[in-house]
Amino acid sequence: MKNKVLYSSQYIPPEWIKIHGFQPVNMISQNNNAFQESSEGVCPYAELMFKQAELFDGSAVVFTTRCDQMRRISELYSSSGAKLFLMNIPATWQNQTAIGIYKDELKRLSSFLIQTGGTEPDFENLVTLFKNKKRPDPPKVGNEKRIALMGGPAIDFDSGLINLIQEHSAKICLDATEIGELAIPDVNLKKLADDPYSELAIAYFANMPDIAKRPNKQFYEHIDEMVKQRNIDAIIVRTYPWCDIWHAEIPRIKELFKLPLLHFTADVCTSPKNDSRLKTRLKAFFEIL
Amino acid sequence: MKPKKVTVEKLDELHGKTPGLPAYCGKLCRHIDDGDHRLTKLEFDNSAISYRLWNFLLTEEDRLREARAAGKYIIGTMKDLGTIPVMTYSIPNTIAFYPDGAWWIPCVMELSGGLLLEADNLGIDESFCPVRAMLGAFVTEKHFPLPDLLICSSGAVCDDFSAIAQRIEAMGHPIEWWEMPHIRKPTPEEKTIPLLDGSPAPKIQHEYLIDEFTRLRLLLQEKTGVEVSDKILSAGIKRSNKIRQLLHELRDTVFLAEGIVLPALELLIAEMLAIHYCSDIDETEIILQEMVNEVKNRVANGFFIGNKSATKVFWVNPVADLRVMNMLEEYGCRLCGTDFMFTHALDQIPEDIPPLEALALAAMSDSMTSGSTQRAARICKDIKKIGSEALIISKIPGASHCAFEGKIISEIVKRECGIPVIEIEVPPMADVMMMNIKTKIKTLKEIVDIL
Ligand code: SF4
Ligand code: SF4
Repeated sequence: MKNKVLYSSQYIPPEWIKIHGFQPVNMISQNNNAFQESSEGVCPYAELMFKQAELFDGSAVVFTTRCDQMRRISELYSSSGAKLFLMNIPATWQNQTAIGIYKDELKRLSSFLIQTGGTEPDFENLVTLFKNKKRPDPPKVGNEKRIALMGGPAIDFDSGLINLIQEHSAKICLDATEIGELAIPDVNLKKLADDPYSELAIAYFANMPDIAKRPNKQFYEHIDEMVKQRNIDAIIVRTYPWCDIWHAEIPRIKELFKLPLLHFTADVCTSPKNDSRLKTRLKAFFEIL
Repeated sequence: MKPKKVTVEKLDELHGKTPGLPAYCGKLCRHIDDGDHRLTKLEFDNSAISYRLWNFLLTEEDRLREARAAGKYIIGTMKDLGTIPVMTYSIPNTIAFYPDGAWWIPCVMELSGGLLLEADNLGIDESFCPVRAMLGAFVTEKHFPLPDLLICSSGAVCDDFSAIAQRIEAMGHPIEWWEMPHIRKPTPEEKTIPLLDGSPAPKIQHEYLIDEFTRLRLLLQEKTGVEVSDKILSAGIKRSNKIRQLLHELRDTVFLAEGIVLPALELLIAEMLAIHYCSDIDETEIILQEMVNEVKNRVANGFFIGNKSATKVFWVNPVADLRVMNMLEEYGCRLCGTDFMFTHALDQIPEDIPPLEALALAAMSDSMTSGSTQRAARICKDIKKIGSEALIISKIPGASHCAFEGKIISEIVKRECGIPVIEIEVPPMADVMMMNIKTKIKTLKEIVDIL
């Protein structure tokens, strides 16, 4: 386990961790059963990341400052004395300062990984890693209702949600959750070979549509395009309790897309399969659709 | 006059008896008729300067409208505790205004202003902190004139504000966002720069902020048509430092006195003035100077409010319900030390370096942009200096930082200072929780008395 590095956000390129000789482990991919109860006032997803970090027995953990909850949960984790890197992700993105900050943070992460026992970055390998990285094709859809899923990051309990949606002859055709399709970077290999820092800053930061950015118009512009391209019929937004970032945007999502919208708040401890209220709401929603 | 706490009616008896007051002063009861019902439940310091302070605070909206009518350029400086307002006040004919101040309107109006309802209607419910009232104020346009320009910090800020400001922008109020990086500890190999309290921070982060402020300087120039030179910025910093110095003197005199020389409520209001000047920097200076004179006079004459045995309490975070500040004294305590989230606005901004560099340092010194550990370190330092006997952390309902910081701060303070700590939650109208708050404050006092 010691050559593994756990990371928590779409802004951290796993390839960057890899070219320093570590195996990147996405927190989201970890077993979530360890998490039984969330705390008052804390985003359960952020808290889940904290628990995952506590259980992790690798070389280091990388958190980001993407939202205040994440920034502060990393401080709680740091008090355990564990090896932690907190990557400063700017909220603004339209100015050179923000892009400069991201580039500098990549360099700082690089030094951190080297000091943690990693190697000097292997830039050739970086290009190879991206060569093999393909953006997934949009899902094939028959007569099902086409759903766009938005909101906090999807975790493994969402398979329950996906099944529930499929039971109603519908399919998630656009995953616009925090770490969904929008979080897959579009990397220019030539530019990456010439100047990896600049290209990663463009692909993993400046061009990454994210609801938490200020302003967040990039997010809406991208989604709007994809909603139209994929003929989306309805939107489901799942937010985590105490997540202001998503919660505040629900009326705007409703207003901008003018599509039927179902919003529900769910803890990470409750699987949609066992949530009878949610099942009833989904049933009613699809009946109306 | 011997100091004591009085009702608003009693304070109004000073009306017409103090010569030379500015035109905005009048009977405070007129604000009750306008909806500021909480005034009837508060107790006030009985001095003439308290009368002026409250008048100043409660007339901000009128004064802003007058400023607009007089052709002044109004800049809404959002989520900014003491940086852009300093730049703004350096520019002639321009005033900074602090929309975040709507935070207290639901309390002062006892919810009658409907701002929280407006926010609710826009989907911003009680899972957000009371700053959601600001959204309501932008919708109703009743509590302040819409600023000519909005400048808002983002990055290392709370989610509540960031999310609400984004909604305000989406409603058609363009915002100029600037990046406030999360201020971290420097790595051993990095170049560092000392913050206002002397602690080292990464130099590179200082450079980011200088770049951001250079961008904002150009924007301000373009919008106001005034050349925002180093010279005028330096003059603005000097002026701001005068205010900071006065507040520093006021706090020291109040906290180190043998007894209560200024009620907690008036001290909270005075601290608020120092971060945004309540839309009039000249008047802020006069009021703070007179407050300093008043408390020094009280100390010199041994004039105290209540008895001298009150428990010395250090208070963390502002209270959404101002009435709770009164309660502290009612239950045998006094305010001795504060961190209302703007302690950095007390520190002097360097005058011997280029102004944008100095302002960048001021912004970096905001402990809300680093971590609660750094915040706790300053709290501990102050507790030791003042001799505070207990700590109260007031939780702000819905605030994204409150779920985390209480635990960190209380553990550090208990360990470093060995004083008891309690957490209380204070909503904008805390009436239903008063018994609970009272019990907690009384228990805290009992513990201190036993120790
Ligand atoms: S769900 Fe919301 S609060 Fe939680 S990590 Fe994501 S943005 Fe932050
Ligand atoms: S009280 Fe806290 S959460 Fe609310 S706006 Fe202020 S810093 Fe943000």
